[in-house]
Amino acid sequence: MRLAVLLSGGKDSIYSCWRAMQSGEVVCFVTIRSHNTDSYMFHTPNIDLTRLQAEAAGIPLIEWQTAGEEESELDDLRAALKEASCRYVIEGVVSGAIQSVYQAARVQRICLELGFWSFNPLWLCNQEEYLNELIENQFEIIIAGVFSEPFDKTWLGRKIDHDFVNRLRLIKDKYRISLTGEGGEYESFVCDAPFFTRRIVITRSEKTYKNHNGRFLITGAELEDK
Amino acid sequence: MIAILDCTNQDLPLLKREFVNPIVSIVQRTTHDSVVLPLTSHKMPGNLKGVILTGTALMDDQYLTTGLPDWLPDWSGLVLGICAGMQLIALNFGGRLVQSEEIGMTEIRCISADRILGGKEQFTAWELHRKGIEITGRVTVLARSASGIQMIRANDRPWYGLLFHPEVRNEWLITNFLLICAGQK
Repeated sequence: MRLAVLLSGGKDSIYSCWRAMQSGEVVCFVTIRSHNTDSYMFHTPNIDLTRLQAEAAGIPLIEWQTAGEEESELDDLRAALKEASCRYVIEGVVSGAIQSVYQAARVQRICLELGFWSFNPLWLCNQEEYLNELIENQFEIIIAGVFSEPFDKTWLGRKIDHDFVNRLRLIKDKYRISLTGEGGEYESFVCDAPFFTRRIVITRSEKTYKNHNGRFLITGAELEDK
Repeated sequence: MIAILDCTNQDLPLLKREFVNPIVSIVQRTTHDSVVLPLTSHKMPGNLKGVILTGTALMDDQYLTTGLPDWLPDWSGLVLGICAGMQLIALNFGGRLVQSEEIGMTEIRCISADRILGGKEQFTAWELHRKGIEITGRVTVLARSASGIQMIRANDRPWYGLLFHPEVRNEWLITNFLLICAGQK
């Protein structure tokens, strides 16, 4: 089956792509670039760098802009998927939802309306096992944004490794955060994945941080052979 | 032994992660032995305590062509059908499928008491289906939503059907079913 993957740049969409590639044919990525930093659906730091990820994976990318208003951004997603269908003849759409019924319902509705299958390979997964699977399969992931207690500036730019998972496991109940950050507690960016033919090397970055709200903005990056 | 009958299209293994694995995780957490079988499985597993029929994707209609395994309609033990699985149960008891597209969280109102409900009167549940059911006579309707029947139980045997997906935010329903299977409820 020919598949489009909704790509945010974070670990959940890249992992879902990896899984989809094991039984289907991923023919394109679709990135929705939202101008609304509060968008529940699409906003992530470093969204511009999905271009580099697409290049690293050798998969074409469809980029679509949205103002990010609550329901009109769904019209933009619909338009982007129609474009994906015109250019790459897709039959299904893969997204990285884990528990978010808000995101999942909206993507499911649009897919059904357009006649596409909808796949969510991470749906209701064991979150600790998932993070460990990322580490064991050499995904290289950094924290690109923090948006809740108790995350301070030191978390920005750090890698997701076993130490990260252990620290998160210790604090998740106290601060009511999800291990995977799907509640918006943190955002990630993937520099390398098993199916990338080249890896992303960050050459310049900036950190902004105030009151448990910070971003690790990648201002320079390039591809390096693996 | 709990048999989890996989109602997803076997040509699309990605669907298992979404519709089968979450059920397996819940069953394994209750320490039940379990086995996952495709809907086409011809052999009834030994020492069977209960059967769970999974749901599947909105675009997947393969389960309607496959139907229930030959050995299941004669079985009088415990069965829990989820979404696609419930539709197969309804068809087995003389019901029919109707067009009913529901995606998202929905209010469920319990209208008949049953041990699987554990005294619950209402709750919200995740729906993901294009077909609902209409049925009279051989089943009792346990719960409804504004769009129609949501839960049934067969009158002559402990077969349950849930049109919504209990693995999303209502694991307690699957746990209650497993407790009934274990004779603890």
